[in-house]
Amino acid sequence: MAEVVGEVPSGEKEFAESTKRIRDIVEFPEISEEEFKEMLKTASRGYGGDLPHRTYSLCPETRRVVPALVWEKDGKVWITKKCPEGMITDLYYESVETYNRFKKWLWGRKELYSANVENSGVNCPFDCGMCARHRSHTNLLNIVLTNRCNLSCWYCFFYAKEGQPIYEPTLEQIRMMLRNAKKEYPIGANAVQFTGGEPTLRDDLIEILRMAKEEGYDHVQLNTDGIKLAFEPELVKKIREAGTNTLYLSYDGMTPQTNWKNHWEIPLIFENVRKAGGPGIVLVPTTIRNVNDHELGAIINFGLNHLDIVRGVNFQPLSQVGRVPKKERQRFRITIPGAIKRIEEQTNGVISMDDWYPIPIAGHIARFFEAFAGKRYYMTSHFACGAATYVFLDRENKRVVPIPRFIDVDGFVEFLDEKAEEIEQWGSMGKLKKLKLGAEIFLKFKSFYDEKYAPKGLDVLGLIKNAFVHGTYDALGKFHEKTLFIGMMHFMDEYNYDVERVERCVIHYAMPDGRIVPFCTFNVIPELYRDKVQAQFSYTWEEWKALHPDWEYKKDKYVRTKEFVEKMRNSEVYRRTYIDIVDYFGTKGV
Amino acid sequence: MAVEPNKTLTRLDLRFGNIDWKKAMVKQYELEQDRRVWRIFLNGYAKNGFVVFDEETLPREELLKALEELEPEIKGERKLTVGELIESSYSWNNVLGQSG
Repeated sequence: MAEVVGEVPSGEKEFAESTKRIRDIVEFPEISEEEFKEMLKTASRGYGGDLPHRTYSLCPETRRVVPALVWEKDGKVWITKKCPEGMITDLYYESVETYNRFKKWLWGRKELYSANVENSGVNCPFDCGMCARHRSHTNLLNIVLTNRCNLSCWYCFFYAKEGQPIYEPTLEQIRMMLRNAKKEYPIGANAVQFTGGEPTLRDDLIEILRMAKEEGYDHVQLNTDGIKLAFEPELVKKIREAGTNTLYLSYDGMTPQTNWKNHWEIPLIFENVRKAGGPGIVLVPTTIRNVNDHELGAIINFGLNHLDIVRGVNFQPLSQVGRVPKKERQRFRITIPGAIKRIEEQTNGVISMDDWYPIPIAGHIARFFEAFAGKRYYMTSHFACGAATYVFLDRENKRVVPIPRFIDVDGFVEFLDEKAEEIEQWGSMGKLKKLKLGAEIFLKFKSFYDEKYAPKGLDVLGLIKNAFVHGTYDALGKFHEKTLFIGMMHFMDEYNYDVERVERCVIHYAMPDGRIVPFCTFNVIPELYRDKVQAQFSYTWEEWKALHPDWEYKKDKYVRTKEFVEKMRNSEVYRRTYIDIVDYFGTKGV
Repeated sequence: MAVEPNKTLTRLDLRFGNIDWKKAMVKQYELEQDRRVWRIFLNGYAKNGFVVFDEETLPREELLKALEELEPEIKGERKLTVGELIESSYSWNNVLGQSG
């Protein structure tokens, strides 16, 4: 299709074009009310129970919390609930095998012993938050810096339209929000993401980034469309110098149609990040069936081609928030196993479904490190929320190698679990005992490691030796330079809402009223959280204009011109970024 | 900022004569959407709860009318500022006990 130019990108025309050709739809299975009731009676209860499993969900219409059934049919996992207006079924997981494999790594222990509200959690998810019932501490804190945005995405209800209130917390409020999550007990947040709207529109952004470091956050991340960074190289430099670790960069596909947000600007963003020497980039494709699910392998290949600046790709299967007709859900719904299956197909099996692990496996590793080194940080989301793997790039042989091809991840983590249990029983551990144990782990690690399949140029054994025997993690930096993190995080919507997932959420939003709220309540029930509280703390249009007499709404907006697109299309930097790249998966011409 | 930290709010502590978990949840959701309500917790099991609200814009009669079907009885009340409400929410002011 012809490029949409000369206006603020909204994606509406591109989306309409993409969805003209439907490749496949999800057929939701039929289940009668009687069958539902019968299955509910015998379903397992409690986190991690076998399928069919009873949980609670949310009615999209009445917003009642209703009993729900997670169940299997034809190799897929479904969620069904009886709402006041009838039965609703949606896809929960596209593979029961993956569901069960991930379930094995669930984390049951509660890791949060502080709260921010008096509510006990009996009315979950209306009691947020954090309430005493919440089980996981904040792993990634989100702070919305503004609802102003330079784009006008057609599906977004969040950004401020002309004349609407502006939400922009003060520096004092931002510091309070940072401190509040940092002081969670017994483990405080250590990673923060500044988001929007478009956070780069704030003039005091650099001050805010510095503040996060001052407040003790090791990881500072900026969630951005990158448009300003394409045209302001000095801003990229300042952002890096302020201590930003990661640009969490929207990147939905390989073409101007699938990635209408910043396809033409990406080459300039990459060049500016290279010149500034950082921050590292994580590409974030919102993944939609029938829209961009045919490009997932190509996106990973793209990331590997820019491994000097791209640290990861984090796919986000679409969350269909709001009232969405069944037909639309059938066309666009994709879940974690569906996306990783497509990646397997589109990488010619180089990255297979079995290479992925669920997020809470990190809880088992964390348990060991707490016992061994006294470091506490538990990533203990629900097993169905996210998955990840690492792939190494062997440039010499043009080979991509996922970790599980040369490390027996299951075996090694089970071994660490056993060791953690052993150490916990000792009560205390002297230096000599620690050294001895470190050496034992290093020696044992060799039995989980297969050198034959390991990528060349990566000293895995040296890295493990440093970590366990000498307690140094400097080599981890080198590890990251040669690897690409590939992640997957499926945020929920009303149709696949599972209260057991919310209770374990690790990605939270801080609000200026002192509460800290899970991602999937903040965004799925905005009338109680995001929209309500931001309205309470917003400036009216008139107040905002009075405070910022030189500000104009139109100045915030980005207009992509025809001339710019033409210039980019014929540029060397565009060619370098998109065309002269290596095909690591051997898919070209297949 | 639309809200001043020294803005005064009212907290009513309540006891309910006619409540269960379903009614509590429905009513909590209904009232919680109102921007004039700052915090609310209705416990259908313990049959008690509280509402923190802006009495300048939400008269207590209107609030109690909305709660009428649950047969509310006011057991206590106090004034607090938005700043105090925020302070009471800090993680370090709400440590629940020793972790395992």
